[in-house]
Amino acid sequence: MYNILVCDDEKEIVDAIEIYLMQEGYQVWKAYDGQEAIAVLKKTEIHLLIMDIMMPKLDGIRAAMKIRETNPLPIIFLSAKSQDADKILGLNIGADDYVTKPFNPLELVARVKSQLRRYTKLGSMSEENTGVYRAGGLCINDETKEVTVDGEAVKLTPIEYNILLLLVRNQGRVFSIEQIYESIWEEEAIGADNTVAVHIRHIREKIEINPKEPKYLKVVWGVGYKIEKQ
Amino acid sequence: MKKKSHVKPIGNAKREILLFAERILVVIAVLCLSFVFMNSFLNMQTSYGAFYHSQVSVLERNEAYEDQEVFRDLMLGNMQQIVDFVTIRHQLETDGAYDTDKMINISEYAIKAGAASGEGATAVYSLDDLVKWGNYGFSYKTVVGTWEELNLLFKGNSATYVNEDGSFMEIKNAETQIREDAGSLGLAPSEKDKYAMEILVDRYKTVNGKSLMECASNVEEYEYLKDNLEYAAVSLFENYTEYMRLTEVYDSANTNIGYCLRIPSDDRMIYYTNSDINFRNKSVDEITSTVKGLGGKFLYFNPDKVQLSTNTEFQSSQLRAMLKEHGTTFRDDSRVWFWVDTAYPAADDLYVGREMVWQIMPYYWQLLGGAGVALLLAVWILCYLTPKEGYIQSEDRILPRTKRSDRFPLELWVILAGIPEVFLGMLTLQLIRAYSNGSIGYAWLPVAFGGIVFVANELFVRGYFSVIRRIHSKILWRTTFACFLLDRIRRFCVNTYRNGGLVSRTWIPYLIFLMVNLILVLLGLGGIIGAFLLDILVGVYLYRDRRDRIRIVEGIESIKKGEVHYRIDTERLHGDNLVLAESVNSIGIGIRKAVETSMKDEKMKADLITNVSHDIKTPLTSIITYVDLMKRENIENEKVRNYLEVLDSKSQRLKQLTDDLVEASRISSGNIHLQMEHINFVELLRQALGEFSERFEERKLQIVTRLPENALTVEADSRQLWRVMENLFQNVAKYALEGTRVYVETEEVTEGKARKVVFSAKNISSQPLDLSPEELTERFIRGDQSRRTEGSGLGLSIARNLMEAQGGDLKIALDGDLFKVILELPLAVE
Repeated sequence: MYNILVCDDEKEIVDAIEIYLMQEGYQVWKAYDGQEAIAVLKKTEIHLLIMDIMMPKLDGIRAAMKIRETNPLPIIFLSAKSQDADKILGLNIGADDYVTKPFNPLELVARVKSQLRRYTKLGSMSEENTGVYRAGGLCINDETKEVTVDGEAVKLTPIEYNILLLLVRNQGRVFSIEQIYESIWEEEAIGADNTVAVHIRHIREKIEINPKEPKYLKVVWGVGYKIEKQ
Repeated sequence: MKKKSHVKPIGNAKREILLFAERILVVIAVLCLSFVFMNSFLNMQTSYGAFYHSQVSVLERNEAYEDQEVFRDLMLGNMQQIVDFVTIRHQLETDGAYDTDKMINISEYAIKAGAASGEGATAVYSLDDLVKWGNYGFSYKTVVGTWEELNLLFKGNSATYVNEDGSFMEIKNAETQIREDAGSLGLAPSEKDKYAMEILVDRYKTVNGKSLMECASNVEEYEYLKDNLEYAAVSLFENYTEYMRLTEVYDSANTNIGYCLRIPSDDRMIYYTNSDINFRNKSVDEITSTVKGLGGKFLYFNPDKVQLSTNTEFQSSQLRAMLKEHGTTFRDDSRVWFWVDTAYPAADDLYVGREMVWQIMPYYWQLLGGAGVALLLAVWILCYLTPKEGYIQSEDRILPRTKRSDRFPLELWVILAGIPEVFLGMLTLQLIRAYSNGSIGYAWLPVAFGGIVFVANELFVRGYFSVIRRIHSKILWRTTFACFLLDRIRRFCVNTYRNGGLVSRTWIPYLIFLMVNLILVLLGLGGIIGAFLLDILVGVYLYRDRRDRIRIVEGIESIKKGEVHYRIDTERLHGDNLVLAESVNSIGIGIRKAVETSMKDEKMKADLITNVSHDIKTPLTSIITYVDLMKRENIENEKVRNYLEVLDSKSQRLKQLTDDLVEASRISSGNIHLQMEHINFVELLRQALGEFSERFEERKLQIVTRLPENALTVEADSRQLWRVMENLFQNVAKYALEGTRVYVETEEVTEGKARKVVFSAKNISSQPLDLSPEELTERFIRGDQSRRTEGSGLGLSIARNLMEAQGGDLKIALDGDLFKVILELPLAVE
């Protein structure tokens, strides 16, 4: 039973989110500005905070900064500000995720789940075995050929698995389509078509919450693909 | 502006006080100097009659009185006087005393004195008679008669006509008349051939008891004797009075000068002296040593050998000149001794002279020193005021300030002030000369000098400070008449040049240049050198002109390239170039302003759109969320489910629209930051195709690619380039006719030196394209005007803006239903 605080000055949005979260079995607390959110956090043990940025009295950025001084709970910003600069600012001051309005309710729920899993299970995931590769919440066990994202199992085809393994084992390194092709199919890439690109897209769809804004498998446009070193 | 910070302006009152003090000091200095000047003059009445004045030289001041010019002048005058005196004594005295009975041969006397000539009758009178005669004067009677009759009066017949008492007896000859009245000599016409003759009334007889007529044998002799007698009598009387005076003056009690003059007379030597010492029967050497022994100044002169022995500074020539006048008296064996008692017991000329010299000695140095100090102080005041002049304290700043008179042309000032100065200088010289001559008095010379110098000083100080103020205000040159004149000439030239046509601006200077060259060359070697120098100057001028022009062209190029902040430095430009440069600069400023305004407008628009979109998004979020929630309710009603679908898709489209709107406005306002890097265009294209493969498959679009094997490296922002691709492929996925082929090609193209990547995507449009390519890339225009499908229509616009921002290009070609997009990007330079 997790306590989630939803904070937005639009009452309807808070109510809608409450419905989705309650369907998933979470306890929802509500606040309508930054000060209220801080007040709730002081009184109750909250496990995750979903907060708007543009709010009266105390805006989301300031509230988050204040909360971060004492509380390490996951914070997801929910904002109409969709520009890169706004996202970078939000993540830099200590938010864990950033969802732009209007949002896909299911995506929001998925992100909530992901954050909660990481927040609560991070400590217990210490039993490291050989052949286990991690990149943030992404975990590949090469012994069992299992892939989990934030503890949730993901089903991949053998080629997809191999590509992902290659990238995870070389975290941070960028592989071009040609390099990936040659190391997976072990043959020369003559006129390599978009096979690799399609596979990559499939992997993203399976492991990422929003494949268009990947968290793990990033596209370096014009160069190749990589798993971000976490 | 260079400012001397330590200069503190002086208050007006203080300045006036200092200037007043300066005037006073200058006048004091001049008064001191004029007193020194005046006191260096001696003015005295000498015993020898002349009014003596002399300037005492500064150099002689500390010398002994006897070595000074004053002494020499006075001594010389006195010696001359003594020589004259002795000559008279020699005339009037016998054995050292006035001899009343001394016999004077009147003709001899006159001849000696140069008053008569020739030999003839003479008469001898006693000295006393002659002196008295000279003193009382002469009386005459007139005799009228023919020449023969008059001659009859002489030849011993005179007794017949002259009485014992000297009066005329009546002449028996009827034709000879003697008129008692000496006045009316007018003769009647009838009395032809008759002469009038004046007969001297014989007041005294000769020593022989004769009358003067008896001494003559005819009329001519009588006239001769009469003239000589008159001369001798008058002259001797004069000498007698002089003798009486000088006897007094050169009495040993009254003079400090002693003299002894030896004059040979007949066969013996006569000694004339004012001393008690008996020089008679002494040898020359004895006398000299006696004189030397007196202890004062002495002088011995031997006219024969022109030999002078003295302890004074007299020259033998001076003594010789002195005696020359009396050459007949001072003959062969005459000797001269003079000596001076330097104790000056008697109040004579020498004593007075010495007193006066002494009198002007004191205060001399004090006065000179005072004048010097006063002048130094006056100069110091000027020096002190000089750096402060012409500045005023205005609040906390020091400002230069001029007076109205400082605008007056400097040259005219110099002339107007200079003329009085020269005049005053000349006046001063005249005054000095007049004073030297003794023609103006002692009292008002200092007043005159003081006045002159006061006026001169006033003129100088005013002019000087005016010049200083001009220098401090940096208008010295501008206020000169020369500057005014040059400026007029320059303006005239410039006006002529400016207002002239093309011909007068180009050919006339050129022709003048040629003419000057020609004239100079004809002048010879110097002219050729001059022409050479002139040509060098003209060359330098042309070079500079050209250089300035190049700078202007560079400026224009820079502005053309978009450096709207570029400004041509007009500091060192002149004439046409200056005008040109300023015009270019103002065009640049205009462009810059326009660009800035439009940038600002764009930014404001972008901000507005961003803010509005934020406001739209909040309610939109609620709509989308609640539509989703409604869809989750198991609604049986088919119609309602359809309505919900519509709501869902339209709200999604609204979301897309707002996002695109923000994006498009941001990009077109230049409000994006590009991170340019080297990327492989082919790789990016493959990745993009991979991303879209499923969407193409959904629409049954067959992608036909023609890509090069090798990598094509371009410099671009990879994310933005992806966005371009995304937009293009989205368009293809949306608008291509289902089941058709889409041709995607990339190749390297070399155009001249520029190598670039050219990408093209061709597809068959599902809808007829009735728009121009330009309209397609304009915002809010889509291929189908009916706007039935998804999308905001901003995709192509955003793509084109992004391509342009990255230095590339996006073109659209339409041919029927064939839709072709072409991208161009320059290849990165390795």
